[in-house]
Amino acid sequence: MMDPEIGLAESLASLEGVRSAVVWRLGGVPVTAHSHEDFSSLRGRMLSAAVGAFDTDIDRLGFGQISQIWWQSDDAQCVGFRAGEWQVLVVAGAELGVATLRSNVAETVGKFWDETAKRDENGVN
Amino acid sequence: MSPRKIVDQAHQLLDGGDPDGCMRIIGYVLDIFPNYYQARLVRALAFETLARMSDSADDAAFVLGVVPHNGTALLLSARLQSRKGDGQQAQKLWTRAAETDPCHADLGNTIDGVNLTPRITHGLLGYTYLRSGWPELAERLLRAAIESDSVRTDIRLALAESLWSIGRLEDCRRHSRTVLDHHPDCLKALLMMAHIFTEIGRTNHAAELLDRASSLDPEQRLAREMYGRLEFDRMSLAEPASIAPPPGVSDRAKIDAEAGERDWIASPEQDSTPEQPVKSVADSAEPKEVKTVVPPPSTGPHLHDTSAPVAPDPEAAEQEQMADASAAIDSGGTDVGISEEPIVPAMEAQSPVTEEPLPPSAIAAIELAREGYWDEAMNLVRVHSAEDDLQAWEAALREICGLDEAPATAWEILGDVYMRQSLPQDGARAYAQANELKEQALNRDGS
Repeated sequence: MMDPEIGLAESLASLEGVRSAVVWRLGGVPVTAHSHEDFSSLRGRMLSAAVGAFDTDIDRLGFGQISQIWWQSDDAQCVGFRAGEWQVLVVAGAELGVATLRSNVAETVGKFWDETAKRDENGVN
Repeated sequence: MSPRKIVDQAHQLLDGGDPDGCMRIIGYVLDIFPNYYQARLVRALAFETLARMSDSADDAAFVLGVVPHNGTALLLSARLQSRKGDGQQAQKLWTRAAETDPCHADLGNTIDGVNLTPRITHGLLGYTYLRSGWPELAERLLRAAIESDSVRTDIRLALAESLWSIGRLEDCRRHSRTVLDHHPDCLKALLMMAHIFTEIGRTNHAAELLDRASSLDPEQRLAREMYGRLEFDRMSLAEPASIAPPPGVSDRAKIDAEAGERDWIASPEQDSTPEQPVKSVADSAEPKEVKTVVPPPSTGPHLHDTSAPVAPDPEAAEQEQMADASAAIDSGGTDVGISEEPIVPAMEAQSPVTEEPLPPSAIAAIELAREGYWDEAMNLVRVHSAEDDLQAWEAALREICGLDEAPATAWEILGDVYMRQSLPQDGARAYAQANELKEQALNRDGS
């Protein structure tokens, strides 16, 4: 059966305007799905590690753990959040409205969690 | 009751300081199966405790005829030779044990006149590849080992096994016959020959060989393990032998389960975890080249404290976290200034010394990398670094990444190992180095 990280990353990467998605579950290797040819699995892992490192520094400064993050460059923007042992990052073009991006990501992740919870209830791994 | 379980209990008595009790039980088993090599091995150890050195040497020699790579028998023989004052022979036997069973728990025990410094040899690498499921690589190294020491039947047997594993049955048959000429009771050679005879339709010969093998290993454990690896297993084995427990030995299932598989008797094919850390071969190999850029050991704090107690109801906790996350996303984000600092901090040269014993596959990967066989080294790393011994693999990969010409893949996998340990800062550095190497390669190709 496919790892849940892969399923989630692919769902997120297929959202309109999204170029790539990286899902990192603690204790595992970040999983990348992308529709943009410039992106790669290595770059996805780099992004995930960089945000994780940033998160660690923020925690060290006494602000606690980051639950969500957004950055924008000339070309792209990234929405990310962390819940428990999961970190999810979604990269999209800068032209996409951030509110749309956030709600689409939230909806997809929410669906994923519902399905995960159902699978757990049914005892399916 | 399983003969193996009875032998395990006898060995427990020996460990507990009751060699006479051990001998009584072993005598009972050997009355029924006089050639059961595992019983003979325990008896050899009991004879050693009772200072009956000649009897002990006889049993050890018998076991080595059946399983020439048995680490326990090799180390016992080395001790016996040392007591006889033959340091040279003791050294040879110890070296064989270090090659065939580098994780044996007793390998670090002092033996008079023996230098306990393992060397990386063709034989050691060949055995390592064979255990790691790389028979093609094993064959190459084992052939080189035989060229330098053609009388080593244990190496020839390993070569035969590597050939058998890749289906070169005719070559395997030739080497197995040579082994059987020297050791007619060699269990693995008998089993491989039985399989080859079956394949060519000589089933009567095969049955004879299987009978001989069964007298040495009544439960046919090795046969089941070896034939279990075959894609098409046409071998027909009898039911495992079972005997009544001897007086004073319990047949309770609990005791059986506790006795279980024991490291002392495990063959080198079964990777065993030593009870105490064993100095790795790599640690004591030849002096390593000093490199200017070596990935530093992981330093950063873990992203999350993974040792924190698990929530009593993980399902509810996950749903709660998800609800929080969704709510947080819906309520808007936090702008984060982009740091002008480069992601990759300068890497300072640091010693890659580790206290962790390296797994044999990691030692082999380091050796291959040192010799410039990067594809093979990376294949080995890719397959085995997903194992749970992350700290040992981190150490091995840092050593590999410190070598000249280390490819981007090595840094990438090192980054994965850091991420699996929840060390994103170290992961970020390793990935950045991988990315830089890839870009350099692209630029070279482009120009």
